[in-house]
Amino acid sequence: MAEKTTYPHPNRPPKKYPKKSLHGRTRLMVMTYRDLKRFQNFYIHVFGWDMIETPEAASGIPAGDPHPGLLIATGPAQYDYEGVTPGHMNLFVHWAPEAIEKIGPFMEIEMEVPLEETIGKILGHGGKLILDKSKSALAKPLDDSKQSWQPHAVIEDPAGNYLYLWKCPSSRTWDELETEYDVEE
Amino acid sequence: MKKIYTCFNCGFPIAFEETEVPAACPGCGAPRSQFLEEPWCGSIDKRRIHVAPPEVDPNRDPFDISFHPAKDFAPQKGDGRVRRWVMGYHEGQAEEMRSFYQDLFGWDIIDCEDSDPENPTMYCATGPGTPDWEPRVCSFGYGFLKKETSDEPSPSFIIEVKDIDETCKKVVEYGGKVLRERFTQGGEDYAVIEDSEGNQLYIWELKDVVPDYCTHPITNTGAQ
Repeated sequence: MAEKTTYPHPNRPPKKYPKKSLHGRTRLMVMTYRDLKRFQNFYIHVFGWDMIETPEAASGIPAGDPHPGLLIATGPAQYDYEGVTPGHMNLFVHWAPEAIEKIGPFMEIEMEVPLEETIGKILGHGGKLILDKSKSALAKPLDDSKQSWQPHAVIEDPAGNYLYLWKCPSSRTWDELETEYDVEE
Repeated sequence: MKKIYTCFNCGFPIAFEETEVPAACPGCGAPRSQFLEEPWCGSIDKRRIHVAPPEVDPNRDPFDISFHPAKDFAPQKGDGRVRRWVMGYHEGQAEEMRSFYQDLFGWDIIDCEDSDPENPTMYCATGPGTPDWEPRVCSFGYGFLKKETSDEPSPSFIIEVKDIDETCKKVVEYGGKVLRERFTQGGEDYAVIEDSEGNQLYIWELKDVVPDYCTHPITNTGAQ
């Protein structure tokens, strides 16, 4: 049997996403570990995940650090560990120095809009900007001055979930597999 | 001048103005000295320099996290894939959450039929989808907003497995816990586990589902 229908089934397809934008897509999951070898031992053996050290450009952590970031494939992946088949999410994992941190989606935000403007709208709708690194090692002040593959902001939604937001650099060409969108017919 | 830079180490192509080229490959971390350059021709797909990714060594040490192309996942038949995220909300907060994610992020959100209409479990499409509400494009996922309960963790995510019972045995064997044995919701079978670090996750049994990539092999990954 090939891929099957999964619930719920509202008798209509999802809306079209015709804008050339990945704003709002939940691209990967973010989670944390306390002990690297123990974490690897669990996920390699239980779920068969494959993992590399996250490049410094995406983690901010120099290569060879004893507490590396991990970029994890949970299904088929390209050379850059982006998923190469639809339907699964890969992961960014980082070390939590005190206690494991909140799991959350790594989400894209508008490439063409200033970071402060996007975050300002979120705060206006009841979101909060997390700056306390004891809550998330990824928390940081807003800085839109340089392009980066690192998360740009950690946001708390009205219910207390954390969103790890990323503004893609202008190097995106829209030929990348993951940048497909709904073209109006 | 805009150019295409292709990393000789991993094969990752990027397009940048010469003044903005990163010091290291964002895909594998190799230094800029490993970049092969060519003029921008209007499209990454039309580039003339192509670097074959390193071959996958099926005998490599899976604990070695130095850069390598991801393995061939076809033999797992979907086991281990992260399929959905789960985020919680408080009693009575459903409409606030729906508005937050629809207005700010443009999600398409529907209520699951079997859930409490006052505090629905909401299924969220965050990007292009198929008619049966699966993500249509690579490298992103859909998920659920649901009322927080004591026996269903949030925020969390859902991992596809082929056999809940076998997976639960492995979870315990490798230092995790089974927090909730097999249960059925919306006609699907789940269990809740805790990993070796304390993260609480769902596993979702899709025993007879074989992803298309297992029967129609994919190319250009270096693995398949």
